[in-house]
Amino acid sequence: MLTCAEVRDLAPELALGVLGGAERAETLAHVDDCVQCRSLVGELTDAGELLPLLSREAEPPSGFEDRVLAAVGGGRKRGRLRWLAVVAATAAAAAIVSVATVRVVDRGRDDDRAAAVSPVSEVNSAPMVGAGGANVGWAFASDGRPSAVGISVGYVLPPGSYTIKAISATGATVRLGTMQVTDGYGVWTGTTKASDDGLAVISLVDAAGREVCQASLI
Amino acid sequence: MWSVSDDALLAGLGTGDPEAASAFVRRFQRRVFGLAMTIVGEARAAEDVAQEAFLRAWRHAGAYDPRRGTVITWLLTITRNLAIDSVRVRRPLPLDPDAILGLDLGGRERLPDELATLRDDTDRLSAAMARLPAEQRRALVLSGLLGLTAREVGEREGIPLGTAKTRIRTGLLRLRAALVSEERAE
Repeated sequence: MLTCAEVRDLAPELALGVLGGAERAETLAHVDDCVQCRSLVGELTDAGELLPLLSREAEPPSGFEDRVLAAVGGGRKRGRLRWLAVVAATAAAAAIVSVATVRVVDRGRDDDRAAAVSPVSEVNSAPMVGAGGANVGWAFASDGRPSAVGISVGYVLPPGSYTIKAISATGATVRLGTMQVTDGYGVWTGTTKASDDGLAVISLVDAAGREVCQASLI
Repeated sequence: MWSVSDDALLAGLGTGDPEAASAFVRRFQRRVFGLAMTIVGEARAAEDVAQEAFLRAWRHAGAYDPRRGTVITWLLTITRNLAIDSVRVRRPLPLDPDAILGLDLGGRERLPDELATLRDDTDRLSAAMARLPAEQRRALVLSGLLGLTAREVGEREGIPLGTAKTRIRTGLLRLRAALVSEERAE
């Protein structure tokens, strides 16, 4: 566990979104429990988030607006299908492993999806958060044992193989498998018998051992 | 449509309203593309980053929390993170921070009246940055704008890691103090 002095040393980089890997995870863990350090990081973040305002404006290339609007229109179907595909795969796996119907509880959204009848196995979902707090995808995990897990990443992650790490509600760490990212996109589904008490955190770790994003499911 | 608040436009974008989406893009495209160009330094890559930033804004409009900042800072944070990721994949060396900042302190174009608040924020920020010692200003631009870690700032500037950290931390704290002081004075 980092000390307050160590966190104060790392706080500016955390606030500017440039702290990576284990240092970021350890600093965040400390900040979660320390009001003073959380306040410092908050103040530094407030100032740091203004820095992009300093950049000059520039006229985008001709047709940029049309291309963006076309992508928004076209992206809707693609993004939703990708999201729904992973939800469906996770839900299907959960149904198979628990012989139960599934209710999807989406953290960060208000609506529950996929109505269910008792007995219910919940599939919790949460955004995968990367550097700077940006959402890079979604993680899904059903409760019960085994637990079905789904991950969808639609972001500019460097291509390559990422280790999927999970932390149970009681703090046990397990390696779930590997996910291949190509052209910024990656999907993984599977099951784990690692925990009776559910999964708390799912993260992706790159080949250099850096945690590039994580989802908090509890 | 230009009189609609930024928050309302973002909400409209999130629902997929074509008119809101068009107005949102028109309102912010110069800032988004400008920031992307500043960081990636190449028009084609900057356009990709800017386009993806608007797509992210549309997909995650529901996650925007007005209590944590303005729409423009939220959108530029998304743009910055995407641009930094793009640069890290393609180009190891950042641009010269003096070239980014030095040309921009005071040389900004006039913005529409509807963006007067944003202009004021930007002017206050530029003024506060101008009052920082040059080495702290450079460290803030390298880290806060271009996404370099303290270690990379140290390597880039030829200074020890501890000095780089001190410059970033002190610069950030002074910047915040200056902005808070101006807010209280108003």
